[in-house]
Amino acid sequence: MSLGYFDTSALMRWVENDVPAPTARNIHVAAQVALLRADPTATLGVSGLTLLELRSVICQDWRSTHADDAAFDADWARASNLGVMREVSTGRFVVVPVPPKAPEHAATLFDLATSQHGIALGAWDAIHLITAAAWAYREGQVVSLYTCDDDFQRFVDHYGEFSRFVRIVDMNP
Amino acid sequence: MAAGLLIDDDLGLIESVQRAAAAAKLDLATATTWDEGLGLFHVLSPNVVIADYNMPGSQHGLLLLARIRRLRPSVRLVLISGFLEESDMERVRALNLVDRTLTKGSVLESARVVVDEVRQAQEASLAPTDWREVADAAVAAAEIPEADLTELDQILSRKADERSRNKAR
Repeated sequence: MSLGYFDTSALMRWVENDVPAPTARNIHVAAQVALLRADPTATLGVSGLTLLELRSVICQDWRSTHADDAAFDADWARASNLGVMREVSTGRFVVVPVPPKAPEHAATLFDLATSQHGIALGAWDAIHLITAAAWAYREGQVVSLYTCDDDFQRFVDHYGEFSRFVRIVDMNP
Repeated sequence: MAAGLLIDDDLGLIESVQRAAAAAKLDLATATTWDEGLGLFHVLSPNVVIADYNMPGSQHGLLLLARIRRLRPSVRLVLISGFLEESDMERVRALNLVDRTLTKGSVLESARVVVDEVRQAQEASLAPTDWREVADAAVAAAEIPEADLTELDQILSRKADERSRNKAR
C-alpha cells in the first residue's frame, strides 16, 4: 500500500474542476486526483487542516466577484463540500491527525527556512508537512505529499532529512 | 512524532536505550552524529533532546544545543557526557542552556535515566502547545549570555580536542 497526503491546493484544483468550463490546470490536476482515488493500493489522507482550509477557500471562490469565477456559486460550493465529505465518510480519504505540538514545530521550520535560506514556508504549509511526516514516521514508510504549491519542494531541497519521510509530488502541469 | 531524541555515538548506550524504550512503548529516535541529530530534530521536533557533548559532526555540543534551544525554546535539553568534569557541568548548568546534565556512569544506569526522560516527554507530547510556557522559555533563552556561551564552548572544545589527540596517541 502506498500512502498519499493531500494538501489543500491539490484538492482545491480538484473541486474547481467541477464547473462547465474548467481551466487546463484544473483538468490536469483533477485527472491525477481521479487516478489516485481509483487506485486500490493507495491509502489517501487529508488532515483536519486540509478540510478546514478547503472549506475556507471554497467560500473564497464563492464570494469572488471576478468574471472567471462566476461558476463558483452556491450550488458549486455545496456540491464541492459534500463531495469531499463523501470521500471522508466512505473512508476513501482517511483523516490523519495533526500532531498536538504542530504549531510550535511549524514555527521552527519557517524560522529556519527564512533565516538560513531566505525561502518561504507558510504556517499552514509547515503544518501539512509536519502532519505528513508524522504519518510517515508512525507507519514506517514514505508518504507522498500531493500539492500544487512549489514552496514544499523548495523547502525539502534545503532540508533533505524530510525526504526520509515525505516525497513531494507537484501536481501542476 | 518521536517524544525523545538521543544523539550519541556510544552504540552500547543507544542499543540499551532502544531496547528499554521499545519494551516501554516509548517513541524514541536516535542519531549517532550531530548533523543527523539536527536533521531529525527539524523533522520530528521531539520534546526532549538528550545529547552527548563530544560527538562526530560539524561542531561540539554546546553551540548545537544552543541552536536547538533558539529554534524551539521549550524543548527539554539534557547534556550527557563521559568526559566533562563536574566543574565543567556546573559551568554549563550556570548558563541555563540545558535543563539537566548527566555524567555517564554504567550503560545500564545511563539508559535508565534516558528512558525516564523519554517517558516524561511522551506524556508531555500528548498535550497541546502551552503558549505561555513557550513564551517563558523564549524569554529565558534570549537571556543566555552569548559571550559566556562562546567562551565556555571554546574551553570545553579545547579539552575535547586534547582528549581526542591523547586517545589517538
